[in-house]
Amino acid sequence: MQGFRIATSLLLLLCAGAALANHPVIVEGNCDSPTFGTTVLGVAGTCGDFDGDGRIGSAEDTDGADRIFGTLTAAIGPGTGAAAGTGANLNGTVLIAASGRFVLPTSLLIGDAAGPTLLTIEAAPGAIALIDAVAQGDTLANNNFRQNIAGIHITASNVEDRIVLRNLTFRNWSEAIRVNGGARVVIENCTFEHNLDYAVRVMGSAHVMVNGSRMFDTGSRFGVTVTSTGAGTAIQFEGTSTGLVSKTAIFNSTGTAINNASSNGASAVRFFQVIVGGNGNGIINATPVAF
Amino acid sequence: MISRGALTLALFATLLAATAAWANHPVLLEGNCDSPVPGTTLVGTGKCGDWDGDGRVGAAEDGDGADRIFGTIEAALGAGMSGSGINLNGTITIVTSGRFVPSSTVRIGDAPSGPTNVTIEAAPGVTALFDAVLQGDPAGGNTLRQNIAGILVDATGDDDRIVFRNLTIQNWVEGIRVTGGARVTIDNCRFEHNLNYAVRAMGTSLVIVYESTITDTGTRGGSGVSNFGVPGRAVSYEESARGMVARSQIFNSKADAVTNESSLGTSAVFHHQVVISGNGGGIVNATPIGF
Repeated sequence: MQGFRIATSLLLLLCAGAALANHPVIVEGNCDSPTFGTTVLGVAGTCGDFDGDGRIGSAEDTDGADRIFGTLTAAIGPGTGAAAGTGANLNGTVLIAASGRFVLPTSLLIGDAAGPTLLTIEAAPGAIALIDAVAQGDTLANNNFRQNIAGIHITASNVEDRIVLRNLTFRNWSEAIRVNGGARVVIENCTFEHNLDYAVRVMGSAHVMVNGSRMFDTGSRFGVTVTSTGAGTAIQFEGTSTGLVSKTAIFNSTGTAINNASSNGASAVRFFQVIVGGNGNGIINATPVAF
Repeated sequence: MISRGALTLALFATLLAATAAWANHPVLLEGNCDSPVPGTTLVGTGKCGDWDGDGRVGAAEDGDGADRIFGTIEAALGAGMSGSGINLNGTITIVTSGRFVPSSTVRIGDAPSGPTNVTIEAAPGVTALFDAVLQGDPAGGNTLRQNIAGILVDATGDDDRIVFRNLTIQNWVEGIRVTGGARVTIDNCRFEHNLNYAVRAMGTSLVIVYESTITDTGTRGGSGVSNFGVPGRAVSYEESARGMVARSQIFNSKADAVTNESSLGTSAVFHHQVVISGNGGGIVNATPIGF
């Protein structure tokens, strides 16, 4: 009987501590109140605290193996501290369950996982996930650093790598999303505003689809001590990349709405029901498709 | 051993970082319940629109610290405490539902420095009611508000960019008036019972109305005010304004759904997939675009 109990306990411990693959995790919002970087709240369940434990941000990242995180950086990783093995580890779904600010220390890097990188990052309907390069209260150096880099940088290199970004809002980056590996990326129902050079920049041999999204005012940004002059192109395809832009609105870019500079030619990039208005240029070197 | 000078310098730098007036940063705006009486600013923690759980809404939230969380739209647009407001260069995200009753027209003019880049948006799942009428208003502002525009954009430059997203605007003489040279995008907003115009574009502005619903312009049942809409148009382009109305619905306006009286002629205003019904007139002098 005692042997049976020991075996059962061991099994339970293994299940609790195993680094599982392709599982979902949840990310809470951040209010950064009363001060920037606040992680312990005065009132549990407010200020983005989805699980009601009074912790948000980095304090939520390491408080236990609860598959609930406070930062995107931790959620897409393996998990650390008491949360070791519970992160998506580039193979799973990251669901943002409460509205808030998500201030990244640097570009959110999505590279190669142990197997294929199969990652979805999405905000729940009803939540707004503000991935903004600028955070009032953070240092000038940090704000300027972020405004000069990409918000999300996808370098996963293989054609079987699949990344989905859904219901996210990007503002004030040099490039909101840069893809320069070989992955297939779907950008769905995202909002981009005031990104300086590009909202979405596709390079390498990546295949990127932008669907149901809004890209406003690319190239129009006025930060404190950073440059306010950029390419201002909403979607750029380069290298040997391919893709599709569908059911998307692109307004008031200072540069071009969609620019296809892929060496694969006009057939590499297709577009369907894309509304453009007020841009410096419209859709260049891409192929319209009908269904 | 750290010298007193170094300590002083470090303290000064910390203070600077904490109080710097940042540009282009996001802020959050809470809802207001105006309960139990209009103008209530102290509520149960986490109740009645109190997103950050400090028991304050409205004006009390505006002045409680440099936490980048506000209770009124006017304060969020301004400089705020220690530079925490957007000061006409940043994003205001409304994170809880509620009533937003300005004391007068919400004005978006030229920023103190650089272009005006303002986004005002309600998070998905949140209803932000910009209604001219507040039953029981202790300031007695209902008559004034019903005789003015809800939002006035008079920023003058072509590089000024303003976005309104997911807002509900009701009972004003003009829901949104644009008189300067700015580029304004009205995205997924709802307009009801505005008397003369829901959206009025003037000056040299470029105004895009996208995925919005405009209902019952010219029909209002206010007390002690004129409810006779002149003309009762949903969207009007005048002077040298230009723009586009796309993927929107316009129902039951007293007069035209879309009228282009711009001196720039028919090609100044485009329309695409605009569903109209029950209006006094249709789409006048604008150019259809297809795919």
